Amino acid sequence: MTKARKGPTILKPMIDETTALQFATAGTAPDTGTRGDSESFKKKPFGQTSAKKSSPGKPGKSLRQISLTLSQDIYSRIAKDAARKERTVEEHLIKHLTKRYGK
Amino acid sequence: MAKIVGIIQTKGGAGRSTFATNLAAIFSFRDPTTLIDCDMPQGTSSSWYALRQAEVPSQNLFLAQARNHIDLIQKAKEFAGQSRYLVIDGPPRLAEMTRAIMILSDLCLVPLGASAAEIWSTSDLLQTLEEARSYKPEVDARLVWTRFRGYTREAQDLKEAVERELKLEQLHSRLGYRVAFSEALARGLSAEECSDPNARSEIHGLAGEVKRILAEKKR
Repeated sequence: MTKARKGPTILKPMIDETTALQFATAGTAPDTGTRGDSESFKKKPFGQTSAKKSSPGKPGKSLRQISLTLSQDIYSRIAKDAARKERTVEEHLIKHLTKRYGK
Repeated sequence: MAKIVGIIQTKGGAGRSTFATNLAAIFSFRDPTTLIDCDMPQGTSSSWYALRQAEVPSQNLFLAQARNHIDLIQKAKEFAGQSRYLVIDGPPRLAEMTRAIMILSDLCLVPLGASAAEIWSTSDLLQTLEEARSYKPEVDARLVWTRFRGYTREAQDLKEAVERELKLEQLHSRLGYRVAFSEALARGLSAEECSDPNARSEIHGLAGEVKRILAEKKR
């Protein structure tokens, strides 16, 4: 018995929200001297919350902002650990991730 | 389904709003069209829209304003369902919003005046367009000459240099250096509604060419 053949997908999603968002926040072309669109979106990229966290030795290193969905329980534990180390949750996670995967 | 035309150019005063308002007006003659103004708070397209709705109110033409790229994506989603065309008037910056427009649009138009300053800023834009194609290979961007004085040696030289140096397809249509375009903008009209036959012919040709390109794109 053969599987029913699935017809070709003709319709693409009208708005590729994910790609648009990914590319928009992936950074601007180097050496263009550009500025961001609004203050609310001019936060430092994920992983660069302070000068201490930046990577001055690797100029032009591309950064990607991600969001995570965690259970409240796990988040609370991370937040508690972060507070103990006097870091923000973001700084704390970056510290652990870079330790595991490298800078 | 809405076809999306993005007008992008990082150089200020290059004619983005002239293109956006004229295309939006002409498309809305027959089809529901939304003009998205991404250059806030300057809002040239928004001002034009307010004038137009007072002068020649249309049930077919809508306006949305986007203050950042997330707002833009939301507005595009919202209005794509109720419009046949979305015309996005980009900001004069190579930042998140312009990058989002590259991905969202079926066709990006890059207005280019025959001046060295505009050509230099377009070179920066091309670099980002290349980058955009790594996210979405079908990104389609084309140059459109504006304020083009084809009878001058300088314009001809620059045009040849652009064809040689900038690897970006050009539209056949081009807009000349005409007062009618700025007059139309100031009165909330399209150049097709003005008395200058040359401006009418040029803008009519441009809108027709854009529609043909969009029609050839299957979604």
